[in-house]
Amino acid sequence: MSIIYPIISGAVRSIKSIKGVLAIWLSTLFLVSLVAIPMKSSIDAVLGLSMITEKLKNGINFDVLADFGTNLPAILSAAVSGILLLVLSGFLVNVFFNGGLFTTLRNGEEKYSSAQFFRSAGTRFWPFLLITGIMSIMVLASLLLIFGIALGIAGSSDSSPEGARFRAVIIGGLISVFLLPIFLLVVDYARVWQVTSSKPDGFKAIGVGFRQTFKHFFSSYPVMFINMLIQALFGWFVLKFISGYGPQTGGGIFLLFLLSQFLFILRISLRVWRYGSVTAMYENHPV
Amino acid sequence: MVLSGLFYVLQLLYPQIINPKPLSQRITNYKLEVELDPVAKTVSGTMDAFWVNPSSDVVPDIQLHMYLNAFSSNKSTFYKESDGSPGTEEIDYGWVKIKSMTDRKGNDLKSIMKYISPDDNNPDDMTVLDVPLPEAAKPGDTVFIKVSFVSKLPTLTHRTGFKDDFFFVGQWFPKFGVYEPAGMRYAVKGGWNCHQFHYNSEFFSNHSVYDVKITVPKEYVIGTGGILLDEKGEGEKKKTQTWRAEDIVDFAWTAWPGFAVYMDQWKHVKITLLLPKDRSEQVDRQFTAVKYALEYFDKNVGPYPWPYITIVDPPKKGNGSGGMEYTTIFTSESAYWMPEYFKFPEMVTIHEFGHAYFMGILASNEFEEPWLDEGVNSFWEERILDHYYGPDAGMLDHPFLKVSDETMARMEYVLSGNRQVVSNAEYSWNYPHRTYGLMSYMKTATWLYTLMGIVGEETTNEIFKEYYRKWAFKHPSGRDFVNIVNEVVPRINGNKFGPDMNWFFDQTLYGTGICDYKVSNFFNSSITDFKGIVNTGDSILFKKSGREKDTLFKATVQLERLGEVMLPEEILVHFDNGDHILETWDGKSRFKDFKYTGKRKVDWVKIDPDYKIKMDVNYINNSMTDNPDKKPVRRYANKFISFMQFFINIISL
Repeated sequence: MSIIYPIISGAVRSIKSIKGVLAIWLSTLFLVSLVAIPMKSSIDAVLGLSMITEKLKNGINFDVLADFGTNLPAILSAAVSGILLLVLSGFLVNVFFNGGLFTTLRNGEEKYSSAQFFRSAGTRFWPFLLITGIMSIMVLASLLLIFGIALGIAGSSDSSPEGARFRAVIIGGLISVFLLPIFLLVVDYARVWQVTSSKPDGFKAIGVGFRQTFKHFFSSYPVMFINMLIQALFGWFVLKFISGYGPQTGGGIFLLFLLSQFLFILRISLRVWRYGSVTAMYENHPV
Repeated sequence: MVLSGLFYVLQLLYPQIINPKPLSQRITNYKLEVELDPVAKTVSGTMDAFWVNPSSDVVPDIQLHMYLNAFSSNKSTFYKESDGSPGTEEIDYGWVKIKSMTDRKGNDLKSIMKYISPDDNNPDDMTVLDVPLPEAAKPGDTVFIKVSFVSKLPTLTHRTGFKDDFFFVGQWFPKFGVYEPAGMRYAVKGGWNCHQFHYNSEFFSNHSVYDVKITVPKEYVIGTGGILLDEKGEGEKKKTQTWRAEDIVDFAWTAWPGFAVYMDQWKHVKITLLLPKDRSEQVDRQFTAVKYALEYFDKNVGPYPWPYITIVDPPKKGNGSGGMEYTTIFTSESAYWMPEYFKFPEMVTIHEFGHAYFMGILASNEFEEPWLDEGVNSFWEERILDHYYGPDAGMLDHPFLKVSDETMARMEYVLSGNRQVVSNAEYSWNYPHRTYGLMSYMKTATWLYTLMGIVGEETTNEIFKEYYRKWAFKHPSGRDFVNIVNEVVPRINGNKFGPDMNWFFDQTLYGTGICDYKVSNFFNSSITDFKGIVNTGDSILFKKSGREKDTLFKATVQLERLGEVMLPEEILVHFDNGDHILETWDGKSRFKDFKYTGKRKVDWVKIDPDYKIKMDVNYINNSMTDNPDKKPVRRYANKFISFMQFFINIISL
């Protein structure tokens, strides 16, 4: 099978699922706002009617942070708890929506139906949570292992060359870059199989994911690698844009908000494109 | 006169090599011949040294620092103060042992010497040696001693010791204390100033000449605080190098086979850099930083008097020796592939180089007044970094985040919960609640910035130039520094700040208060025509105003002093028609109101609009406006939302 077909087919399926993409965007925005808005309010309250914000015009200023005084630990503590809660709930919400997305991405699902999207999301939640949870742990463990071994070897002796640790990190990073598409293929194939199966079985789905990945490795891997490459380039652009763009006017700040939200919708679409491509590949070689 | 003659004779014995004229009195001199044993981790050899009695006292003894004995047991004062231990294995421990000690006539001094603990009477501390003299030293007498000793280096700790084949040899030989005649610094009568080695403490010494012969295995590269005069082989496996240093307060050296040596030049100063061979990408950074420091100090304080400087950038395993100063040799701290935007190596290099001035040339007592070297030097380090690397980027210069070096010090001071437990004026080991670093480095640098904010940059530079002119190669005290400020500030500014600046030092250096000024409120009320009872004599009339409101306003600005520290403040008042008024307030009263009547309304108010008073612990309450600019916070909130959305999306696979 050509690698072009799944890439194109995935893109088409992604466009068809735009309502699902928008649902994910809205729910994520809502979730993050639940933490961001109170945090902003508490910072506003500390700053009061002060003009110190002029020192924040060109970036974060440690003088201002210091002047938060006893408020700083309280704000930081609230921020850390909020972010942790956010990450956890965001993860769960995404798992939920993925159940709907993988269903609507299948061939034959000609028309997007919100009812079916949410029904499927609900039905597939537990097996999807199992699949995503286990695979996340596997990805994390692999990264720890790769970097741990590399750094362990490089730093095992004080007489190791000075740059050994740095080179170990680079090598570890390169290995991870090539390993990550495999894990993503496994998790995606597993989820595609799960939505085609009438019985929820996360463990079996992961087994199928591994089997499909390695059975069709040479056709699947390039598709995933290309998608990841595009996502990485996109991520780099977003990082540069959001970090570097520092509007000073109210209109500029609103524009920043609109643009960053648009970029986020694009980011979700790229992910759904990946899901669509793997779905297309699976449909060509079903279990 | 007697002393001058004696010095002349001594100079014949110890001729000039580096400087055309002695820079200091050279009360003590050392001639050392030692050999490094890289297996036993010892430095052993002999020392011929002398001390000249600079006082009009008859001195019955000499006192010597035996610093390495601080690492000889967990009962030393050093380890009692730190609640630690030199290590678990015998090799971890350090000590210095005197094998023999005689005077000029060959009298045995070893049998009569004894360890004393002048600071805490700790019987287990052996870091100060008292040696009674067979003949008391009369004024101007020179006391010669010949010592045979072995110094066992500890596992690298507190910037001295070894790690594998890397050695940094500091505080390693028996070293004279400083005899302070009455009138010197705070001495009311003559006596030895020879403190024990404390956990939070550095050193105090006379400027000396050092002639040092060091024998090491051939493959070792040596760096010292002197210049190399000679090198010769000792058989096939060893070499002996002869080094000389003049007018420095301590002699330290390093030896490691893995050093690469780089050379550069700044005006008359030959710069030698020793660093690990595979860290060559750091070479330019180190040279640039030290040249910046040389240039800045030369311009704003005084000339660097030696024709050389040696920088040691220790290997990863020798990190424990990083960030230490011995006047003409100092250790920096970088790492392989340290990113350019992180100016940590530059910060360490500039700081440690700065000690060539603040304790090297201006040899204050680090035991008793650590602020006078560490704090003053931190102030200069921050100025240099922020001057050359950007006013907001002296510590971190990344497109996403910039941090100035000065901000780091202020932040540590402002955020510390212990900033009021003690004043600066404390012996280094007496700072309670781990405030040694906070007080001696951060608080001092912060109040020096505040002083500069009050008297101006030019006056500040003139203070330090005068301090250098008057006290170079002597032993200034904190009081001497304050006297210089009291002399220079009125000379330049007249009576603007009063007859002296004691009011400043009493509150900052010697006080524990905090500085915090606040704009409490401002408001504009319209002035109305007269309305009320008018007594005409025969009758009482009620007069109603013709107009409810006039076009005139009475504006009131209310300021408060929340802290104990009282400093002069500038207040910028801005009106809605664009006018500004810059008011001044001596800052002494608990509150101050400014009132204005006119057609304009107050728009905003700022205390210390240029942020000159760095000691103010809260800048947030220094200003007030009816219409605060919330945009920066909104922008950060937007960015936070976006980053979190992307992050959650990425981790959800």
